[in-house]
Amino acid sequence: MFIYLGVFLVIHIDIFSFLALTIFALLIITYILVIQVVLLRLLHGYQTKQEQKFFAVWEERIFNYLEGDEKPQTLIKKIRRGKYIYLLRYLREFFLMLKGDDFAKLSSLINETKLQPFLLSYLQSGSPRKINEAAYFLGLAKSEASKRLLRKKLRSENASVFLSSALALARLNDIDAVFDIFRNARHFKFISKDSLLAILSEYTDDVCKPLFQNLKREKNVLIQSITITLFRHFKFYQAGEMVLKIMVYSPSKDVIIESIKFFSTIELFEASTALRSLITHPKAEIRSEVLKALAVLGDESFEQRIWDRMYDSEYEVQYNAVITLMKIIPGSEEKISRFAYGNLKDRAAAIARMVLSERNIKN
Amino acid sequence: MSDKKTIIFAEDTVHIAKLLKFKLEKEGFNLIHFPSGVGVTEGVIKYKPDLVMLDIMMPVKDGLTVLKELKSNPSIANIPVILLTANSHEEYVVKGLQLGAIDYILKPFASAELMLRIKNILKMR
Repeated sequence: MFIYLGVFLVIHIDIFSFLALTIFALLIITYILVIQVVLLRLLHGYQTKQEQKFFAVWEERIFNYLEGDEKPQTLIKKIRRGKYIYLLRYLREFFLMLKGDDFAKLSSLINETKLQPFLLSYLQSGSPRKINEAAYFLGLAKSEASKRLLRKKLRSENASVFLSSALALARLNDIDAVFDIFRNARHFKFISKDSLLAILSEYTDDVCKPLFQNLKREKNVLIQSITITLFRHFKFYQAGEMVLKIMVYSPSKDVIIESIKFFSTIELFEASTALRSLITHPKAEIRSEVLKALAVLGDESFEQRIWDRMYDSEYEVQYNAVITLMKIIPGSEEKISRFAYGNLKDRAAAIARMVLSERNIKN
Repeated sequence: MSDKKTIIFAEDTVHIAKLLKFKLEKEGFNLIHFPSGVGVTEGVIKYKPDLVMLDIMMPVKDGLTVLKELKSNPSIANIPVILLTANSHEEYVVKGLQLGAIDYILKPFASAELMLRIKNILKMR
């Protein structure tokens, strides 16, 4: 239709009329946009006012509920369904900041009242905004009744729905869902390792055992790397030996780096033999990570190899070499100091002087 | 003069601050709330509270900066300070304790535990 209109205009009107019409059309569009912005602002203002009104009326009653013996059903019965979302938004901070009895009372406000079917109906709606909001609160309140629906939502093609459902399931500690999360995350190109880690770290350390079993046969390097990072997060010592085997044969920089960090966190001294060959790895980030780990594992037999790294081509490796030497070799500070001030034009000596100077400032 | 113990509480999450105010006032305390670290030191000098509670992560001025100011002023340095911080920021707790905080609470926290700690600290003084 627009093409026909365009052709009609070009044939039947001159260029000036055409320009005038274009300007007129642009003005109309601007006018519509301005009206839309004004309407949105008004709507937002109205909703904020309604929320404030709700808070003013209900705040003390909620405090009394948290403090006393009132049943959750009694409190919720007094609130109109249309105001449920205000209540939930009000409770958001409390869910995140309170634990113990306070948290139990907050959870029962959702899990034992009409709020739960309300949120479940949101979860089944077609609106991603509603689904995300429902998943968020059902996850926070650890609503067991929502697990089945949340798992279905993991298959959503909408990234935000996938992420909010995954987060809710992690908060619910639904161990069986962890592999669905991995599987379905692959459909979204822009979901980063960090966002997956942020979600999975919401699980309790119970998640380590199935991940440990899976790691034995897992070939995907991203999943290997995430799994090892989670082991580090949960300090899952049991996986040390297996991760060591994986690291030795892994071609992936990410897997190697995460493994080294893991060994350093759990102080796996057996790993130092494997680190021996990695200290000269072609990738500087790996050499650097090895040095940081050695500073923790403290294997003195590495002294000469670490000294050699002070002449590395990469600044970060040189810097970490000086730090590691000072940490693990007794009396090395004096030796480094002599080296640092005895070779004024040498790059390695300059880095050593920098580390010594930083150390003096800290002390 | 009222014998109510006064507590100054700097916390940027307003609803939590209101809940604690409600609970503490019910227990007979007087709570003065600051939504950030700004003005807390001046408030402490003015009201001479029995206890200060500081959230570490706050906009504009963080809890550790306020703590430094409190401890460097001899007229208020002996007022006990409790720090509140998220689980993921435990490294700040060590710094806070070195700076002179008497205790710390990790978020999420149980309000009953917080109340107990406040009472114990005030009892010890």
